Amino acid sequence: MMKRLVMLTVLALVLASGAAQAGPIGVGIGVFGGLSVPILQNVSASSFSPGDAFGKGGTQLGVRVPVHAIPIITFEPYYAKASYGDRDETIGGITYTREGYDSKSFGVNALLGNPDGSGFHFFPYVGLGKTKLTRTGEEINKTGYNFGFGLGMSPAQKISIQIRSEFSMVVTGDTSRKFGGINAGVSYRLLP
Amino acid sequence: MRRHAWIVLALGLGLLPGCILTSGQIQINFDLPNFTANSVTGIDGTTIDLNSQSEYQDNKEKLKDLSDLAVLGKFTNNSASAVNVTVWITTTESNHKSEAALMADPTRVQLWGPFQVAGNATKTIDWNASAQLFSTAGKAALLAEAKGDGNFSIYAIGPSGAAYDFSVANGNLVLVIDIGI
Repeated sequence: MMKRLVMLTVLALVLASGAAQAGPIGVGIGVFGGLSVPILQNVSASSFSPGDAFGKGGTQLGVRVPVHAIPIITFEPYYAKASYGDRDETIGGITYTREGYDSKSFGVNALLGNPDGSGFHFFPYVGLGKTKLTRTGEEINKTGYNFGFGLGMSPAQKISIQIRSEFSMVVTGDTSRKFGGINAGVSYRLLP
Repeated sequence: MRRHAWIVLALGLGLLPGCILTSGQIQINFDLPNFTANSVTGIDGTTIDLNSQSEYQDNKEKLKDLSDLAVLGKFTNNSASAVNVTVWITTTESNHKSEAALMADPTRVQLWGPFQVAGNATKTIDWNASAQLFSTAGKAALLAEAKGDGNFSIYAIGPSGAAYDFSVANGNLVLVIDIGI
C-alpha cells in the first residue's frame, strides 16, 4: 500500500511539475484521524426514522502527502483506513450481530488553495481513489469518490493543522455505499 | 476563489450519474415458517412471495443488486450424528415433500450451506457465518427472482444419501437490496 501511495505522490508531482514554472514545489506529509459513519446502509424502509440514516460509525486513520505546485490547486495523495462498528438487530426474537466494514482506501485529492499556508484557510476539495470494504461474506473493491470542506491553520512555521468534513462514496455498479465523516490532521512541510 | 470552489465541486459531482448519489441499501426480513427435514419421513418447504413485503414492492423497480444476504434461525439436530444443512430454492413455485423430488426439479439451486449442527444439539446461526455460506449460483438465482416475479420456494435438507432429522425455528431470510432512487 505504501508503494501505491509513493506512486500517487510521484504522479501528483509529475502532474504538477508542468505548471510549476512559476515557483518552487511544496511537498508535505501529514497524518489524520477522525470519525466516519455509513449513510443510508441497511436501513429498514418500513420503520425508517431520520436517525436510522446513519449506521454504526468507526475510527478513521490515514496519511496524506500534499503537493503544491500550481497556484490554486494542491494535489494530495492519501491512504486511509477505517473500521466501522458492528450492528445488533433482533430478528425473529433472536438478537444477531452483523459486523461492520473494514475499509482501506487510497487516492488523490485536489484541494483548492494551499491549506499549509500561513493564517486560516477554508478550502473545498474533491478526490478520486480506490476503496476496499470487507467484512465476513462480503467484499467491495471499487472506485471511490469524495468531496468535502476543510479549515486549516498554521500554528508554527512548516506545521499545519486541519479539520475536514467529508462525504465519500464507493461506487457499486449503479449504486454506491456512502459515508460521512469528520477528521483532524496535522502536516509538516518538507519542501521548500 | 469562491467561484473556483464551486467549479471544482461541480466538476467532481458532475462526473457521477444521479443514481449513484441517490441510492441506498434497504434491508428486508422475510419470516420463514418452522421447517422439519427427515430423510425418512420427508421435507418441508415454503413458497416466498417477495411481493408480500411492502418494502420490496415499493423498491422493486429501483432494485439494482443484492448486497448482503443471510439465512438466520435456530437449527435443532434431532439425531445423534452431526448433520450438514443446506438450503435450496426452486425458482418456480413447488411443493416437494421429499429430497428426491426436490433433486429432480430442474429449477433447483443450492442457495446456502452447508451449516453443520452437532448430534442432539441446537445451534443458532451467526449472521456473519451465514453470510459466508451463500453460493454464487444461489445469489444469482435470488437476484434474478428479486428482479423477476419475486416468487420462489425454499427448502432445507440434509446430505444426500445420509440419515438426518432436524428442524429449523425462528427462521428468517434477510436480503439487503441496493436501490437507485
